[in-house]
Amino acid sequence: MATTSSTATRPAFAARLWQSRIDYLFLVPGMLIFGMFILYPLFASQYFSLLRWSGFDANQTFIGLANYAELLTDKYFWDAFGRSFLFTSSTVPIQMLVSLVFAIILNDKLLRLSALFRTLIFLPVVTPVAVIGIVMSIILSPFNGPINLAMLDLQLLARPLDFLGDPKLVLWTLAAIYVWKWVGVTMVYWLAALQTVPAELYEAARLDGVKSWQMTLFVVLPMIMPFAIVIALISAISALNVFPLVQAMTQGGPYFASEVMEVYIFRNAFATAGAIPRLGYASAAGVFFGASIMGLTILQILAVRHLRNREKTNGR
Amino acid sequence: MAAEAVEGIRQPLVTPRVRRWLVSAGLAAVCCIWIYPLLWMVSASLKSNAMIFANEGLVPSQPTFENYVKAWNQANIGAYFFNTLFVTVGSVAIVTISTAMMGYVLGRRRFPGRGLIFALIIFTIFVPQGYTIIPVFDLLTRLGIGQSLWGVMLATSGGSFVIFVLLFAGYFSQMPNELEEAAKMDGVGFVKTFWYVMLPLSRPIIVTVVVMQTLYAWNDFLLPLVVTLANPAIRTLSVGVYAFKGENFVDWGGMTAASTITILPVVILFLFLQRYFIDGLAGAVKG
Amino acid sequence: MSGLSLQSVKKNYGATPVIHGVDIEIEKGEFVVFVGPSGCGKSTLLRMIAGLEEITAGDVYIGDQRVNDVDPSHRGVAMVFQTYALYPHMSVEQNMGFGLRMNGRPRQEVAARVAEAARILQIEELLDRKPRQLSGGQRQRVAIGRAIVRDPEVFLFDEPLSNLDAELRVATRLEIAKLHRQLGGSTMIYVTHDQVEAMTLADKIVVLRKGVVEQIGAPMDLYDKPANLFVAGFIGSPKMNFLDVTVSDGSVVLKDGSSLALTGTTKAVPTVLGIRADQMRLASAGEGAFSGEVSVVERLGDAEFVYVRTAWDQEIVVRVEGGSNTPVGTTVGVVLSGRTHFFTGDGLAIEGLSLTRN
Repeated sequence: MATTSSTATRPAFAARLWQSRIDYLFLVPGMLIFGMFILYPLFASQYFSLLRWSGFDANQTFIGLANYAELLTDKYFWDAFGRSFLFTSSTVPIQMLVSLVFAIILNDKLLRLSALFRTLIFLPVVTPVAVIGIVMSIILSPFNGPINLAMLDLQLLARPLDFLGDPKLVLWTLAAIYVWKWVGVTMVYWLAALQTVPAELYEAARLDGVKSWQMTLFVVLPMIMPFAIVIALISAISALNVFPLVQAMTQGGPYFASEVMEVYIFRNAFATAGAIPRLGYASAAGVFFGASIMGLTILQILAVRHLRNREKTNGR
Repeated sequence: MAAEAVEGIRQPLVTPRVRRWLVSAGLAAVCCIWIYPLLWMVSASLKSNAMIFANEGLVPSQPTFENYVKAWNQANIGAYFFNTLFVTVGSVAIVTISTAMMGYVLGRRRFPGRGLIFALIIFTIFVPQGYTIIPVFDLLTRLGIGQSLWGVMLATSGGSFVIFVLLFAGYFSQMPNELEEAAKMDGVGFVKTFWYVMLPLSRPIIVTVVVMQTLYAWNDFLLPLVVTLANPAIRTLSVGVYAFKGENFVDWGGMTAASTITILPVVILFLFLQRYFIDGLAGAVKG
Repeated sequence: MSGLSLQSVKKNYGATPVIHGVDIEIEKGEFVVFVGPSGCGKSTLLRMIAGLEEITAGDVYIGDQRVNDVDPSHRGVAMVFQTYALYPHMSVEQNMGFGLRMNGRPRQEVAARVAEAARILQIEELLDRKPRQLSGGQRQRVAIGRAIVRDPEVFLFDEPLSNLDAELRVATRLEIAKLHRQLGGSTMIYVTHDQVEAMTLADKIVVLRKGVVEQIGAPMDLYDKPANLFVAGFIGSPKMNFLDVTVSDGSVVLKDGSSLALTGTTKAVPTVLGIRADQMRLASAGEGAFSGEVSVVERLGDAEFVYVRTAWDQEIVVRVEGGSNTPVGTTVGVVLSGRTHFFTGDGLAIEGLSLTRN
């Protein structure tokens, strides 16, 4: 039997390993995937970042921290780095607010067709990014694109706007599309959080003549606050992972105006512009960026802990 | 009591019922605008390029399936469709089986090293894909599947792997001990208990994992893009549609038709199984 | 005057009717209990009075105002929820004053009302605590306190005791009865599935089943004169015994053929004889209306419930004061010494019929 031992003495370590052999057997397929595609890359890219390496079949030369030294002086890197955080810090609050409004409205079970509305709002989430890239490029096109045509017809614009071609506009256009695509997920998170507020509380408030905005502000929001921090964390991490959308729509252009961190990594590693691939350098960028995110995540988690603990001590 | 009585009974201006109707109508308008890009896409895919530029409104006056025929045959969307299907089905199978087994062991069993594995899993949960793409591609190349659909299938399995393991582990850990004890009393072994008792009970999670992984694999972009850079024949739909845009940037009809073909299967899947998808997402927040 | 009146009130969920036209008149200051098995629509009815459920058809009047479309907060009602519905992040004091504060009442007035309610309920020392720091019974008081603070015309209670343990339930039941007296003119409507709560608390009981009112009346009226089989079986513990009978020649005949003479006349044909456990006594085998074998004896201390299996294989329960020391397996006779009830085949009670005493 491979199940836990009932003997009084603690069996030797080797014996415990042997006892759990079926458990380990069950772990094999999962650990293979996990090890190969999640764990190994994490450590490998740290090693790669110390190399000069110009292609997947080319020679690797160990050059120590030279890549990092170069990164620190690379204007394009810092621009992309800043842009990623700018993108995140502008999309996350908007995304959370818009989705919260949707969630609060849709949380009313008596609302007609609320399931349909939820599905419709969620639809962009399941739409492949590549498709969104195409459709949005056409819709926002300055040449006969429907949005520009409509705005010209309504005389809101004198000349068509080049939403994706104007370096000043492009990042904000992408941010808007990003929010549009992902609001559905955040909305589902909020809806799950709202489920923790019992229906009786709304009823009690109605009987007390508490208006819905007061109820939302003074009861619902305080109650779902712990979730808000988790949702913000998840949303921020996802917003840093915006590569597919940007690549599908602008490839970082025009003039690098929408080049976020991952596009920068991709450009350097896979040399889409015909330059020499710099895998080591791109890895260094990735490690630096990943470490920054990790640091940010840990900070956020600590903040959550702190808040929760404070609440607990207050409660007692 | 000291205070005066509650204010007198007032008849309201707007009954709750009417207010709900108003909110519904407002939401309906918002939703129409919300999915306008998708509606426009489907509409354009049914028009000739000339009619698209004619700006005639959403309902095509001369609907045509020409774009679909063109996209399916000439632009290889047909072949890409089956590539995507292959990758998706394979990765769903791999992911479901391996995460269920791993989640079961992690959720219910105690063995040396369990804490370490959990720690590693939590540690990796927030690693963005762009960070790992170089070593993943390097690994696939070394394994000789750097330019094959098998490589895409395997690497795509890593996508949401960690979240699925945690979903399974969480679900299995909440099952009553009596189930396994009863199985043990009946003389049923470990593997059979897992296969005949635990796995059937975890059906909601299995469906969630299948749905979420299908969507993930079908829509994945970065990894197939990298793997198929040098081998256009094995492009998936996402990459194919993306390449289509680069190659025929004025053929709006063809592009929208290819796009519609790409999103149709996932949208249908989502519409039928959205409960599981949404439950899975919601479970991720609650955990 | 602020009574309450329901006039042919109906409720459908989609196409499914759950309340089939209910008429109830409630006087000001009355304590009314809606009782019935789960799914009978009692809570739905209460929630319709509160304004939390829409009324499909019919009218609800509070005082002389039709309130069908009136917002819940403007009906002058307050409700105590089964789960208490306390705001978890607010202190007891904030919970009780929340509604008043949100409606812009002056701070001193809110504080005064909360203090008064806390005094009535003796929860003054709990005012700074959060709900999760309270016991079930304390939460219950806070929930009642929140209702008192609003000084409503009508109090609504939705199964308020069902989340408490047995001992606390009895204590709180007493408290609520006292509270009703203390608050003088307040009308109270109380929903429960527990007929003991209904009997002990109510001035008037409304028995509901499947969305239909089965009987309305004072507790002892319902106990002594149940209008039908359902009420007879539902009110009183242990359940009333029902014996199938046939009528023959001025007598009723039990299943084993024993015949009992009837006094009184009626056109209706009795098919069921109902008798409560305390209206019978045990005798030696062969004596009484019929005989049977003792199958179980439940000792309560002050009395015993003796279960007698009859010749036609039905279990009859007889209450024996003090104790009988009857061993299981003994054959005993059962004397129908007290009040009997007769019902027609449709389950309606028949008035003016009793067994002839000899």
